[in-house]
Amino acid sequence: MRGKLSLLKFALKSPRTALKLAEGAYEARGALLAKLVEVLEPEVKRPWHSWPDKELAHYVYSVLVWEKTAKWREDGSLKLTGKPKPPKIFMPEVADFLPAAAELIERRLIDALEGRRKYFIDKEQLLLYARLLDNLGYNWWRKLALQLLLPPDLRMRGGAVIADVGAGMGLSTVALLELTKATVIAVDPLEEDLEFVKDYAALKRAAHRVKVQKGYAEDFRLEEPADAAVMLNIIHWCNSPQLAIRNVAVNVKPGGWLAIAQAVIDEKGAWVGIIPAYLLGAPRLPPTRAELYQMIREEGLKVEKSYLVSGELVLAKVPAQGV
Amino acid sequence: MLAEKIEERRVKPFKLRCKLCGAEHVVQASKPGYALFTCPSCGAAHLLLLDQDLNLRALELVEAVEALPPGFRELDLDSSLLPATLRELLAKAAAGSATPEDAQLAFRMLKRLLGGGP
Repeated sequence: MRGKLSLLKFALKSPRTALKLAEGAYEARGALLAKLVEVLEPEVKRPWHSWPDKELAHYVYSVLVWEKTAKWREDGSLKLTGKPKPPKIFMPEVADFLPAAAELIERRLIDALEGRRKYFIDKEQLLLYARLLDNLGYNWWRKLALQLLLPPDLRMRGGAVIADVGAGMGLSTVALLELTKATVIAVDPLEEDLEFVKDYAALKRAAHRVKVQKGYAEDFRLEEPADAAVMLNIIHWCNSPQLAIRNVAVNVKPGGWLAIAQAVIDEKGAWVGIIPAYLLGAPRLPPTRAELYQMIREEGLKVEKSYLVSGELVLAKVPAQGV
Repeated sequence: MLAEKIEERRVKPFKLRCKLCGAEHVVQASKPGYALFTCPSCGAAHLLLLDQDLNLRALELVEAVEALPPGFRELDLDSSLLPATLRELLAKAAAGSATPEDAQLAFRMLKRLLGGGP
């Protein structure tokens, strides 16, 4: 219901973009669901609790049940009730997003269920990781999320500083450079990723507005607190999400902003789009919506704005006295 | 007409020296842009860049993500498995419309993505 309301609210402001979002979600979800069923079909007679990765098994089984393609059996296994037809893909953004996501499901899901999931991005996964982050669909959604969240005065202010926490290869950094006039500090624990951040910024002719800082979300420290910090789909990559939010807030000036765009496990079921990141090596599944808001409030941050558009978008304010 | 077809299918043989074992092999390129070469002697994978005249502009060792068959393979820039930003840039570089700095940057990024280090 909240998703529909959020989309409706959004449609009143920007009908064309809302329509694109709804169509894109429909196509991507349908295609990934069909892939999920194809891969799991020979395996669902196995109870979820018999898989080594029980959490993932329960989650993917729940997806199939929620999407009405399977029913629970008493022993915790599934009975497939139908085989979804993959939808026709009309949107170039979806067509460009799908190959990497579908490949991950096809090649990594069973391994992950068997407990053979990798917990890091190795050389074998690097190209897939880059492909999952840098495609027309995700690039479009990332920019939209930031456009919705960042206050206009922050975007237009030349001297502003924004920390991009968990910058990864720098796609969110690039989006921030394109959307704002701010200096962006990309924070990430991996040296290799920070090299990509610099390259992507150079490609956009904006290297002079980028600084990089090696560090984990949980413990990095900026020289000066930033005007805002952004956490774009990184909570499931954090070893200690609560500590990460706390530390990010500490690195923002009192009265500044924390913008979070995060895939969440929907309380009604689940969305198959969440699975690819987990298969790439994120240490945990994304939080539920309730967990996300609890973590934000726990740190004394005030939620100013929120949307549910293919993920939870939250703009929270750091209190005037700081955290 | 026939001349056009022949022109379209032009190939240029040239010699590549493996950067790991030093063995020389003759390969044939048919289009400008990026290609992978796996040394038939030692299996080392290389990334290379050919300009519009099919001259070799760069050759670097990479650790191939998967075991590649020996020989020469031109990279498909429309490949759905290349990151979007890079795909665009590589296409420009192959068409000769990217700046030399951008072409170099694209080569470096692709090399790193293929496991070639910094």
